[in-house]
Amino acid sequence: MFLETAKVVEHCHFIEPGAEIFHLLTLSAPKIASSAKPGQFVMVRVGAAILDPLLRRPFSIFYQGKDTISLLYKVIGKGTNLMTTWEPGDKISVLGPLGKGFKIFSSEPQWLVAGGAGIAPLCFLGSRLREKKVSFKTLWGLRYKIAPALMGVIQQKLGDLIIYTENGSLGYQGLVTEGVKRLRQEEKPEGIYACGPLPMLKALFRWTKEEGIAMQVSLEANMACGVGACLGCVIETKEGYKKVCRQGPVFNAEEIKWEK
Amino acid sequence: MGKVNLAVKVGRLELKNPVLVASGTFGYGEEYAQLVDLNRLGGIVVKGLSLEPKIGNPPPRLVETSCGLINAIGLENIGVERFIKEKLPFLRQFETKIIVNIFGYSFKDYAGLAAKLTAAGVNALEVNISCPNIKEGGKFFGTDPTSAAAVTKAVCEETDLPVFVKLTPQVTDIVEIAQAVIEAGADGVSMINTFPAMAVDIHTRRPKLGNITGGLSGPCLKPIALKMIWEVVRSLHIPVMGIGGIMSAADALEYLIVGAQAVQVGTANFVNPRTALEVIDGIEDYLRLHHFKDIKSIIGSVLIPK
Ligand SMILES: Cc1cc2nc3c(=O)[nH]c(=O)nc-3n(C[C@H](O)[C@H](O)[C@H](O)COP(=O)(O)OP(=O)(O)OC[C@H]3O[C@@H](n4cnc5c(N)ncnc54)[C@H](O)[C@@H]3O)c2cc1C
Ligand SMILES: Cc1cc2nc3c(=O)[nH]c(=O)nc-3n(C[C@H](O)[C@H](O)[C@H](O)COP(=O)(O)O)c2cc1C
Ligand code: FES
Repeated sequence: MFLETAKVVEHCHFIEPGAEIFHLLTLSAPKIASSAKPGQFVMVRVGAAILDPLLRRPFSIFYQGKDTISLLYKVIGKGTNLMTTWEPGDKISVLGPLGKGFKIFSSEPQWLVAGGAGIAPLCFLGSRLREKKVSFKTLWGLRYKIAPALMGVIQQKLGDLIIYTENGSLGYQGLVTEGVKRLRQEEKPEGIYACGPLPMLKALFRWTKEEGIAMQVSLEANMACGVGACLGCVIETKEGYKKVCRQGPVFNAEEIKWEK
Repeated sequence: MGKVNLAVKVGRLELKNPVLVASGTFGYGEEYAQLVDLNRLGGIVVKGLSLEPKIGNPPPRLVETSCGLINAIGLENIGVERFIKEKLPFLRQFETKIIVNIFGYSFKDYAGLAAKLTAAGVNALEVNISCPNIKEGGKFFGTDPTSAAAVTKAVCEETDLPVFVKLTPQVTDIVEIAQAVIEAGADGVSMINTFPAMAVDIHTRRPKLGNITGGLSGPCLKPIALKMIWEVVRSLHIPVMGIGGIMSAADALEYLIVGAQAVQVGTANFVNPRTALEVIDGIEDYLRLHHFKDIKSIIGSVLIPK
């Protein structure tokens, strides 16, 4: 775990009519970059002397370069809105890498199932699986299409992926949870890694349970410290409350009390 | 330039510098040990402990507001026994004072905690009285001078350690409470705890916290805390540890000038884990700049126009 003053190396804004907007931020942070594992995250300080927004914002590592980390994010509120104004050369305080990452399943094939910005930790994981020559498929559910340039970046890391959009503007029309059922007719995965909105993860969990497929999920919670000190980020598991920042963000899906 | 003296004595508690980290914002120290040289801190006030472990409130437990944070952790903690066995040996390795924050639901709870921690060996106790007294129908110990004094007495009878009572700002007359706990034997007071608060999601029309309400901390708290401390210091001249929204040396200096003898950094640890260290360095720079050789020269030095 390091507290690094990172420099913005590149900031791409994938904005296009009718497309879901994403931002790709690349930071030079050599210490964090060299020790990060897929599924881990960083806490980014939005402004150095700014007290509003006050807290750091958590983001998964989307991919890792030699001395850099890249974050893929969507604008949600005031913190992410301010982040979009960052330009190359700006200095940003970053804390990380934080949390426990994914454990790679021992048998193949494996699936990565993402919803929206949930592609971020799975992209890092997928590039690691490719290096290890693990056979896997990626399904990504989106609301609308995305800019081709972003698709290019992701394909370069992950290879081909199966896309589902709610309005059908890219790939298949429908939800990614329908996509997994369709793909299941072709093959049975030995394990699934998933990240996305809670309703998607809940639906996936019900289905994997019926099918008897193991799943790891990356979860989100409001965070203050990111290091296990404030006890603010807990989720309910079968063994009581667990800290998403420290004991997660990746959990075995069976551990979680999904009905809560 | 010669050395400046940062050491202070708060009641009977001697600190090498007046900057501590506040309870609940620094875990048990180990969470931040990789990032912060704990030896440099004036002291560490550990997360509030109860006799038995406590599981805390349902999530969500945190919500950010303008210049502030509302938390409803619900005093989750591992209990005093596990603290003594698992956390204290680690903390003892460092050259800093270990102050243990305690809370309970009866006078007996507080007395039991004081006895156990005194036997285990820590440097001071901080008594959180922002808790409901179960026997008295859940009325907070900290909102009534008589029960605040009784809790203090229960603790002081079981320990010879320095005792600081941590006051809640949710009272009509904070001076009255401060006076009551000092007369009951406390070395000083820690001011202030979080301010009761809530936030609502307008789209779902639900409270943003699982517990509905929580406690507000952070920069928005500072002016309120400063004013309360000023009232207490000018009426009672007692040792105070100032707490509330300290993000920088400038914030800490305001507290010291008003009359706090030490300060605790809380929420700022989340924003910048090295805040306390930067506050120490900043205070030293300030003293040099203004040609003070000793921090004591500025404590309570506020100039009130006639
Ligand atoms: C481990 C982890 C990894 C994440 N990875 C990514 C990622 O790779 N890409 C991405 O786009 N988003 C990611 N998120 C979500 C991201 O942290 C939030 O979108 C962001 O904090 C919103 O900040 P804001 O100021 O724009 O929103 P606001 O709504 O103004 O934020 C208010 C407060 O709520 C918190 N908050 C709001 N939404 C979330 C959320 N979904 N999760 C946690 N805290 C939230 C904020 O941090 C802030 O403290 C991740 C969250 C977690 C916990
Ligand atoms: C997440 C969190 C947990 C806290 N836990 C405790 C606690 O266990 N006992 C206590 O006396 N105060 C607790 N506090 C209060 C702080 O110690 C401090 O009094 C308060 O946050 C105001 O200071 P700040 O604005 O610098 O954070 C907690 C505060 C926060 C934010
Ligand atoms: S964010 Fe503080 S414990 Fe997880």
